[in-house]
Amino acid sequence: MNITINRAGHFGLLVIFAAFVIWFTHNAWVASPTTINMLLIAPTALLALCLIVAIAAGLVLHPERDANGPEDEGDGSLRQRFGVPIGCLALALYVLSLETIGYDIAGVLFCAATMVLMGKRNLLVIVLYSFLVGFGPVWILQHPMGVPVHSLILE
Amino acid sequence: MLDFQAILDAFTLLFSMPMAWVVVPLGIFIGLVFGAIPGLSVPIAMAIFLPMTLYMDFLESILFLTAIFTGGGFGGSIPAILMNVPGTSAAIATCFDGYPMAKKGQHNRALGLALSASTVGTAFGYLMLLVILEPLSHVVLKLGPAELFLVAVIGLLLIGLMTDGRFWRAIAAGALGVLLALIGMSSAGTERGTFGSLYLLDGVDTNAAMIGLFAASELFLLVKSDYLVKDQESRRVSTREIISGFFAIGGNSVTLLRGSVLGAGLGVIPGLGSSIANLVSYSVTKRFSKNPDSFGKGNPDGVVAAESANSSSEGGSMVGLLALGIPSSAATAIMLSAFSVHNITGGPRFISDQKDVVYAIIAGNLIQAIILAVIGVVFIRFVVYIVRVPLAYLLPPIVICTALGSYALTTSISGPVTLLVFSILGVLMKRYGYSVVAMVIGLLLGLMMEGNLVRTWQLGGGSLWPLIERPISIAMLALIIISVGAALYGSWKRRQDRSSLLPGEELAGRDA
Repeated sequence: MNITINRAGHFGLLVIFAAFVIWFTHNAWVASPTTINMLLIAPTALLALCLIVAIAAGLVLHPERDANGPEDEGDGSLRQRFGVPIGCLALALYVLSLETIGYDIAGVLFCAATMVLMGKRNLLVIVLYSFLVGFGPVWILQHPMGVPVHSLILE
Repeated sequence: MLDFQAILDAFTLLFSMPMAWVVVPLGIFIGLVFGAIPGLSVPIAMAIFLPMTLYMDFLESILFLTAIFTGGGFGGSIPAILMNVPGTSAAIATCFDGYPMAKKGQHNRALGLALSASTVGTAFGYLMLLVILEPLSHVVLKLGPAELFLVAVIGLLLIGLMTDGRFWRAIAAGALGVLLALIGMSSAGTERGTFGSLYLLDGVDTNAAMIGLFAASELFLLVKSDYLVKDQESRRVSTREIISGFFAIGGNSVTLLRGSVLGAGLGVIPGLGSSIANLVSYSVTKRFSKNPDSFGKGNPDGVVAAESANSSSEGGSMVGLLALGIPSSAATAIMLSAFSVHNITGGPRFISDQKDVVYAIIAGNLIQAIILAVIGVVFIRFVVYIVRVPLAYLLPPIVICTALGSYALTTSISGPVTLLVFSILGVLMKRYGYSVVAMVIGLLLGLMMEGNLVRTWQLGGGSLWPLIERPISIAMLALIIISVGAALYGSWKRRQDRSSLLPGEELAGRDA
């Protein structure tokens, strides 16, 4: 069997799916093993598990059916090669920092980092635009819309 | 039967209220803005502006809220076409062909088509409402929990049928979506899969999850590009093309009519309405097309099918509110609040006692459809400049707005965290060919499916016999069996075709 990183990733995704299904079904069963509680969960979980096993078996028996390989790496730059994982990481850092450093500053930093990742190098433009994009939506949410938002500078 | 005297009275009432014609364009504009920004939604807009209706007459307030509803219905298609991010769940199917059209530089035409389909769809939905309001309300009352459960199952199967060659992966994704929707406190008070977290007691935030699943895979891929439309020549903004796209709808009249009928009919069903209508219409249009392979690659029929259905479902969803006093969606639930603010209760008595007001609401919405066309063209003219903005400037505010939008829905960090988790899941699912649409539909329908299945079980005295007791549910079960049979036959045929190809040809022809 030709195990590539791509195929290993697909099997990994199937393992995550199966683990979620088993854990959730077990959790629901422990919470209440009544028919009413399990009426939809049990058959849906069974269907999902059967399909996951069948897909995994299909991948083992027919490697050519696997999803496409890695995309074209373009000009080979960092952005072209790792743009998607770096984008995911940037979003993760942004979301996880929202409550710590405030929605305004987190937005400014996320905007600046994304612009640098996407090839912008004019520092003045990056700083001005990041402040506008970081503060603007938070201010709109806080004031005209009246939604309480944790922010470091804006009040 | 139509009461022509009441219709005449309705128009007299409408034109004796100049304020109504101030709040309607305002409402349409608000709806367009909220629909066009991913993360915000029509119910949010309606909820924010609901207090304003305290200072309006009943008719003005309902026209204002339906104007937001109408504007938002079309507004959701703008990010769907330009960025592959559905502004609302009703615009999911608009992405399928709208975005490929935009990538080919046909964004002006796609938006023009979507606007005209929305305009005609909205008008058609309300015309149907005018004609069949009373008889339809009796039919809706006959749909029991068994039928509602089966409609949801059909909705999930239709998604599977739309994914070429990946039917079982789509069904697996749909099943996972249903399970994810069941996280949280059940109607019986059982906590499931919450990790003991208060944030998950109300379940997974479907809006944040939907935006994460749809937006992420596309937004992250855009990190590699400089512009939404690669070819510089194709990035032009042309009012002429928008208007010619608007009038090109004549070439798609069959799709338009079919989508409008399906949308108006499905919009009546509580809890399903526009979320399913656009997908069913798209799926049916693809099935009946002479060139089904062109769908998903920028076929204008796909845009028309989706937009006409989601817009006409608005009229359908008003049936429950006006005829039964039962909201069939979040938007109509907010309208019900406006009803109670003005001490009015919807239902058969409301229709018979205040026929002129009911007809005025319907007539006002027909006129709204025309106003939408005018405001929509101007709105698109400015929004479409997005294709000229470098992505380095465009992506950060979109991501920040989606994160803040998901925060605004819950006013807690659970929204952005849900967005993050489902964003990463969306990237992985798209990479390995699992339908994110199926997962979203599962998420949207899961709780409703469970509620109806439990009620079916209780009505059956501890059995599921009610699922096969009535002709309508038997017909639905037959449709489910035919759908699965068609999928099995399709995959068998595809395998046969593949085996007759050389290995190189097989790989070249495989769907991405």
